[in-house]
Amino acid sequence: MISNPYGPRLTGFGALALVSLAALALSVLQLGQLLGWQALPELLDADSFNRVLAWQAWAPRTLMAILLGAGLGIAGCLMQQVLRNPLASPTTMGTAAGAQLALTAVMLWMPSALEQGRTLVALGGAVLATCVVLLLSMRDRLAPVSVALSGMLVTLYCGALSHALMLLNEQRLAGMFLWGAGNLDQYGWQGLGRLWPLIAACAVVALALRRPLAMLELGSEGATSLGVPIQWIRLGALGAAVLITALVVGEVGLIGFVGLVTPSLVRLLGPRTFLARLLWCIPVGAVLLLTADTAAQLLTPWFGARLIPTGALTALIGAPVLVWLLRRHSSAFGASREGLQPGRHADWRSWSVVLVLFGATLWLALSWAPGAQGWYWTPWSELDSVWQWRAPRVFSAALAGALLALAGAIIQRLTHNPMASPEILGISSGAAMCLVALMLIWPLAPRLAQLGAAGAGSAAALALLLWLSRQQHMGPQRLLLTGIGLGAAADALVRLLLSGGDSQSLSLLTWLSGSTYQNTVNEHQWLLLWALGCAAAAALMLRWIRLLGLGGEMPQSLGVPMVVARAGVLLVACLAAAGATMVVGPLSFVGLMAPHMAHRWSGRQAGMHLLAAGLFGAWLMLLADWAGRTLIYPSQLPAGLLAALLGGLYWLWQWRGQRARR
Amino acid sequence: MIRLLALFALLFGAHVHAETVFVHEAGELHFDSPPQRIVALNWAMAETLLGLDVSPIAIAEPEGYRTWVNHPPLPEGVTGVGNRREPNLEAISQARPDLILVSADLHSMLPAFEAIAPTAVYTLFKPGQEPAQRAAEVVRQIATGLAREDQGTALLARVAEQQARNAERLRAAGRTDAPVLLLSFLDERSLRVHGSNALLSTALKELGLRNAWDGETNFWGFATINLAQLGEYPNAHLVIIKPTPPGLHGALEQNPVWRALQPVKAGRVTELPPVWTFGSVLTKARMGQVLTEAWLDQ
Repeated sequence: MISNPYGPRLTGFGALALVSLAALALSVLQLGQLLGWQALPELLDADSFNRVLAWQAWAPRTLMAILLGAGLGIAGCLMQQVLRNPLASPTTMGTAAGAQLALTAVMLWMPSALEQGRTLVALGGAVLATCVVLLLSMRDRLAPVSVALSGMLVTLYCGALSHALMLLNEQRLAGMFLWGAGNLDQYGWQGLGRLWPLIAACAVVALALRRPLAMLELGSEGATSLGVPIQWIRLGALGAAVLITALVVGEVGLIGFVGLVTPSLVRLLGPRTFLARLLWCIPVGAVLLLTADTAAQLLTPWFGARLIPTGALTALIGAPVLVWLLRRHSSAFGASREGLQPGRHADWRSWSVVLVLFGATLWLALSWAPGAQGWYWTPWSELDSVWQWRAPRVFSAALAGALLALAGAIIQRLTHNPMASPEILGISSGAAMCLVALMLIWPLAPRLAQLGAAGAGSAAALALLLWLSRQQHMGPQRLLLTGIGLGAAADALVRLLLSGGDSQSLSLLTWLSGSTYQNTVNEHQWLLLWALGCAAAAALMLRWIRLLGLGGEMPQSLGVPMVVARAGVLLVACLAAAGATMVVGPLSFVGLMAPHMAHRWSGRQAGMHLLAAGLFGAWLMLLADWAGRTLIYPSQLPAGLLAALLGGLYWLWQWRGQRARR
Repeated sequence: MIRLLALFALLFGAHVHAETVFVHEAGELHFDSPPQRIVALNWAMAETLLGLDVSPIAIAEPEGYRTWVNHPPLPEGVTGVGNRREPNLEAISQARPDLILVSADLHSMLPAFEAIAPTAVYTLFKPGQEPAQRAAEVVRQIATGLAREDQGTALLARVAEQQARNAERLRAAGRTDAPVLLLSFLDERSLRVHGSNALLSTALKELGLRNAWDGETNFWGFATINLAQLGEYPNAHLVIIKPTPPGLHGALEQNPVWRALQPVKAGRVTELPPVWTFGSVLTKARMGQVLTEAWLDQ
């Protein structure tokens, strides 16, 4: 990059030209496959269907891929420049997921509103999600890792809500599955005609802001001293990026990771100014999406009865790139910020209040539920009659919640990051990925095989994480980021499966949303053993957990064997998370929320923190499961989903509290 | 001596008493008398029961049944037991059934159902099985178990006779051997096409028609495709099963590829009222009926 100013650029141009040619050739190959080679002469015949197909389907789709790829490239480049963050992109900032959630909700409740204002609806959701991510990472002054974690959270959250809406309306939203996975099919030129002026306008805005945006590299003080109205510039650029994302999601659905991969590839090519990077992003993004889209179409015939959605494919390609990117840039993230404030200490009186409340909730969950004659409180003496339906679910929910919270508390203490949790460590994603793969190969797999696959997936993710933590310098932050990559890949696979739209994938969706329904059949004894084992292991390692939580050089000087200690403690966290995931699915946020609450309440001592976290986790899951069983009786909602909803409210309330204190 | 005689009489009496047997996929169920209170956990089973003139006391998602199936109509007073994927165990047990009908999709929950009442498993849709054939078999097995063999035979005969009559009408109108594509639209660009292993496709065959789709399908009998793939079947009749997504007609009118499809140009497009795509024998008969009516009244 330093030695020869022209070398890399020439190589870059050459590479880009070659790749573009290859992409176009691939695209033409795909046209041949679409029409059949012997039909190519028919293109000259004005009346032939193949001519219509080439001109009204293939050509607009190809151009659409190029336009949207370029757009997403610009959006990613803008976001990364504004936030000075190599991890920012429409996918990692939650922007795309927010747009999708808004569209899903509106499609369900006000389908008429979509006829005119698809883009507006998507824009609303995109803006909202982006704002939430920025607010959540505000207190870390928008540190890259913090933004990525908050973005991942919001993405997971929006995804959970979209899935819930689909679960409740599977018949009406059958098409949503396909669209949600990014379907670039085009018929006619209207879509293209609608989009290109808007995306071009965004590109013009980006170009007009190039100088002040480049000055952001001087740091905010430097830029302000040069008279740049820094907040307005940021707002304008971010607005353009969000608008592009909303346009893309509104038109063709979720196209993951093009906005993230493009700027990172461009950075490899080595242009040094912001303008050069921006200009490079346009062709690179276009080629990327064109290639992915062509590949998706070429692959479709091989997968028989389903369409391969482009968005799922880009996400599958993008996830490993994200992991690689994280490894590459990890040195730039610096030491982890001390995000955890010192915890408080709870005395025996508040402990007894909490314990009494917990007991009351347990009783409520077991005895109060609606029946054929309305809500009914089952007295203690008659509890036998409902015990067999309720007890296994209540106990497995509580145990899973406690396990997740235990894992979350350990991870948060180790990473000093209140946004860290087993849900984003990748354990759950590993389980989800293996389960999805199993369902693709063996649609009617029995529960035991499903549990086995989930266990194997967790173990594989765990092995990967442990292997990564083997390296001395590997801080816990990097582990979390690897988890984000795994999560993205799992999400892509799930979308791929759901796009088939049959009922097996729907039952998978209930597991993904955290349903305790199937636990009616005595799994909770095993879970109890598992939980006791994990708790005992955590108790044995309490000293390590406490000392590692201090961070810095302290633990080493106190004689903690760093590598062994870190691996051991992480192993406990991962095993706890894996056990819980098999029971309640990957998406509950309890592992995030409960340790956080526990820390604020009784987090001064590590032991008390873990204990309180377990209690809160069990409590939250208990409540969520009870609400899921009773709210829309006799139908049911997955407990994990309701816990996630509770989690969202908790974070908003948290943020409010933060602001009030300032 | 008298006691002994009485014991013999009792044994003999119990033997004479109508014992019924359900042969199902996970074994056999024996009843002293035909079960009266039946809970059906999927719509194909509900349809089969209603076809045998037996009303279930509760089914999963009765509102959905009324919207998507509704033939035969569900009597008032049948209660709901929640979602088809997660039927509520408490609600089922409160209905105090003496028989539960499920499909193998819920196989992992069988122990829980069996704790409530004897449970019979009948799966119409699974890999390597023709749903229509299995549906007829299941009608016979359930009819035997309910001691309603006559109604079962009559139901199958009625369906066969109706199909034959409609086939005859189509033949008289010169519509025999027409290649047909059965379509359900997902959105304005993508659709499901029901292949030859679909239940509805058997209805076509019995009408003397031909399913034109020769691509792969999943074991439910459909494939997800996009509009352009319809271009490979220029001679087909397009039969669109409602409900269609809102705004579909407007979108199709503006869609140049749709307008260029041979069947569309030739006006070989028919829309059918809702027919449940994953039903049983009565669904098959209804498919034959609505298709014949739609074509001959055109």
